[in-house]
Amino acid sequence: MERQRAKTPAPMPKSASADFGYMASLIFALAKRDLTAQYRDAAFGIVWAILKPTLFMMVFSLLKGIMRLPSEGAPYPLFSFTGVALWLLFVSVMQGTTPSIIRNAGIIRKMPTPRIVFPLSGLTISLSEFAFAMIPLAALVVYFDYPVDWHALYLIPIALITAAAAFALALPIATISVFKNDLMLALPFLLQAGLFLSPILYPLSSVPENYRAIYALNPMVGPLEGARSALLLRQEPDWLLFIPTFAMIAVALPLSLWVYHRVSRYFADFF
Amino acid sequence: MLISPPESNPVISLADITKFYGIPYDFSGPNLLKFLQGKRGAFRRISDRPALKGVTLQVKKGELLGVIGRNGAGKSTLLKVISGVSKPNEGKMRVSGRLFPMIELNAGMNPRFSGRENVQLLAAIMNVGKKTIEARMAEIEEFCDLGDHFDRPVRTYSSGMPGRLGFAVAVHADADIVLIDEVLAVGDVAFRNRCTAKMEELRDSGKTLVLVSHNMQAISTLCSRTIVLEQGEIKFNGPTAGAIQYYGDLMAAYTARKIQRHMRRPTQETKSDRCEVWGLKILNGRNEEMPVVNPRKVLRVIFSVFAADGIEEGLAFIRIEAPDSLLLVEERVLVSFSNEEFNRRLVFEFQRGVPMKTGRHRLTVGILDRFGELVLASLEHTMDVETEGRSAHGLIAPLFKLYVSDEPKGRPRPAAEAEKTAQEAAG
Repeated sequence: MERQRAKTPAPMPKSASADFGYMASLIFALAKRDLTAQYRDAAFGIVWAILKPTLFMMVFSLLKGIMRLPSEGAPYPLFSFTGVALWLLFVSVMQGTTPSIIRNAGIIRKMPTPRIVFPLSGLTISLSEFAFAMIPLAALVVYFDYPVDWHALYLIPIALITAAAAFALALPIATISVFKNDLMLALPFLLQAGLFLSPILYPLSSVPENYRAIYALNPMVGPLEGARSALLLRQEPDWLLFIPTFAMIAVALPLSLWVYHRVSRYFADFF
Repeated sequence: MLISPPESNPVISLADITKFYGIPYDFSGPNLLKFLQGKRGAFRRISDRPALKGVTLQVKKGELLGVIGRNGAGKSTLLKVISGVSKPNEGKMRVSGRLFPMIELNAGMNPRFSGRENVQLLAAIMNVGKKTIEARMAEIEEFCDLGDHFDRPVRTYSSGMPGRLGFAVAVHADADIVLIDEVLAVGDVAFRNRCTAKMEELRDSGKTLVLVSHNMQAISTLCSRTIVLEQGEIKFNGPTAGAIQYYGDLMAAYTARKIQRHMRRPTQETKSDRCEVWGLKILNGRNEEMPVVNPRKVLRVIFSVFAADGIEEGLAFIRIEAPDSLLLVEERVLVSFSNEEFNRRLVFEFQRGVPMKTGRHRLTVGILDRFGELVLASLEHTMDVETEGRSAHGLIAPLFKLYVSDEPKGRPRPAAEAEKTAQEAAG
């Protein structure tokens, strides 16, 4: 007997615009749920989004007292906070996106929702936390009475580029983690290593000249250097340093989205 | 609104659906080798056992379809496939209209959110508009009947309470199709009754419902048509009474196999404890065999027992199970076999009959050891019961009559009049 291949059922909304509206409201609802889950029972609540980079900055400033850490003429707290805020965005996207599928297993198992909303809601949370981290950054600028100009606005596209690059990396990890969670176990180590292998405590200029080409393959080098030159040096970011970042967004992002789309149909079979 | 006749196009239509769990690809060693040899479809995984096998099913608008079957028979998988959560491997399917799957109730809830906030969250997940849900919030709150728990965090709820929220959203979401999996297992009697009433209301307003339940009572009152799933296949598709009967037989056969395996241990069978039961007959008061039992008349169950020399005594037992495998009767009587070979016929006589309902019952007689632990011998028989011209809906069908008696003193007064009298009395 001849059997026809099944068509993927599309039980949800018909029109593309309704679909978009539904997805947007769903992403928002899930992000709100997860943010609340994190912060509602914390005494400091959402203030933690501000406290986290601030505490990092304080630790790094203490380190500065022990060893020689250049900061290209800017006050070191301001220098390190800019880097830490951007790095924490990267970390938060990685750590928020990778478990987002498993965290929502209950919904995936039972509801025919579009699957991409789960990692996207993680991304939304990370971006909103980054927005909160801009408050202490502004406070530091005011405190040190540091001159900034319109170049500071580059922080917005740089944050979005960072998030996109992190998402391109996190999505395949999230997909694979449904089946085998080795990568998720390795992730904390990789992120800690990244903290020291990226120009956060120190500028790129303090990396020895002959290693710099290899060092710059790290896709976080471009955003970190760019953010600081825009904010602290009032200069156009060095877009050449962004080549690994853009390459990742251009290649890994579409690929991982495609794989996610193919594999996510079977998620319900695994929970 | 146009209500289409029941013969119109089915709302849910499945044709030859087969579902294997897991990704239908396998990138392990042997398949990799096949791929390197250039074979086509090398990574196609050959699964062992499908969760659904060639399922063909149509559900019409305004129908409330029951789904029954043993655990692991594929009931939830069927709902998953219909809802689109899980993709079938083979076959064609079409589902028209907006669908709300209540495959389980607590999906995606945040225990730190209050009941109200979780209702909003569930609504967002299920694409029920914000305005729709706000407009119906009062109705949902009333339906849940959680009192002030509705505005408290869900983590403070008792185990039966979160399920109410999910069900309430599902039935107030204006979906065309609602899939319900074992909701009747949660909640107290009052809530279950509200659920039942709501499901009837939805069905009557032209919605389509698929109800998975182990509660035969609910299935038989709610569904006119029921399917029985067994090992991923639809074994029965038809009137609910027949489905329950079929399922009962299936369960009975399964239980019988288990009893044989676990209770009758042949290792114990030495010559001295040989015991046999045979020649079961179902008789009426005049000792005539009854092909169909009338539950109001005398019922005699007669069977022959042989017990070898050495068995002092045993428990003669009789069990009657209703079509839905409910145990109606189990009686045990100690019988002394004296100390020699026993070869007699025993008779269980129910002088006033047994208040059974219409349907195929299962009758088991036999001998247990004196502690009632070991079945020495047993014999099974089906027993068709037919009540005359009336259909009982409860557990049993007792003998009763309805008389029209004499006229009462006075009549019930209309409500307005009664109120007036009450006011007068108060004033």
